[in-house]
Amino acid sequence: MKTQLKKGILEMFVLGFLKKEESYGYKIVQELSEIIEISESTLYPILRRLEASGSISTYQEEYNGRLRKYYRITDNGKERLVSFKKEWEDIKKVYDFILRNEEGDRNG
Amino acid sequence: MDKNEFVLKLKEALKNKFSEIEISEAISYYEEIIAEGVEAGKTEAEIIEGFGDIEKIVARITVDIVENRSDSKDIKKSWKSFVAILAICTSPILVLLAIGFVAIAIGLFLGFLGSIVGLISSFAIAIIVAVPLLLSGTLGIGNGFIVTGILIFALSFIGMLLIWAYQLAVFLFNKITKLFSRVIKKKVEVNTNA
Repeated sequence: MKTQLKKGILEMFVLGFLKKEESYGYKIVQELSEIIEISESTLYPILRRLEASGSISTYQEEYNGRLRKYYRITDNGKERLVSFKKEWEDIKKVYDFILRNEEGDRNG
Repeated sequence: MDKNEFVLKLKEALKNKFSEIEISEAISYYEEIIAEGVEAGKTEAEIIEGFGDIEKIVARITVDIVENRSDSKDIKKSWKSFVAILAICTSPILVLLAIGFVAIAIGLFLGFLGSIVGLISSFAIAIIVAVPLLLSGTLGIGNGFIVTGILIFALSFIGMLLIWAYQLAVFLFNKITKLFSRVIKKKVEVNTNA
């Protein structure tokens, strides 16, 4: 996947996951890497970017005698997901169009 | 590599380039991941191996920090970001470009310095010439005012030149740092699978 597209999609991926539940670094990587390959060092700048843009907020909680950093989606993040879905509908239409055209080529 | 070694290496690679907060945020992220992994039954070495090359980790953190910083108006900070980005440059072309850029910056600075020295010396000569004339009465009070006016104008011009030189240098460093970080980011992301 081209990097620019992938970067944006990974942000949406994290937002989509956090919309379901608040979570922490290790768990986010575990869950996401079941769907696509993603490493901890890839996730770090994504989380930082999302936080810097106000799409997620963080808080710390004690767990097992240490601090665990939790990430939570903000209203801004939810809005970004909504507009991503809208944009995606257009992309999907283009994708379907390309497929239909190719079908037409084959049949005609 | 165990956790202590990894953290030490990461700290070493980031120190002097970034603020304490920026470094400790990155460190605590990785420390947390390692602690969670160990609790899930993995070894420290296994988890750290999963992170990938330390150089790439450092490159990613560096690009991320530099990009998230707002443009600094302070030349020391701009210079620091510039050096941090340069440190993770592995491409010879980029390093050459950077050397060229620094040469241009130094050239500009020397040019400004030259004009300032020129202005100061003409200022000094003007005083040397004007004062005896003024004292001997050859130069009237009116002319004295004119000379003083010219001198004040020259002084403020020198001040403005200094400020412009400073702003220009900061601007150039910010621009070039952004440019470099973009190039490096592309390389870092293309070279890794995930």
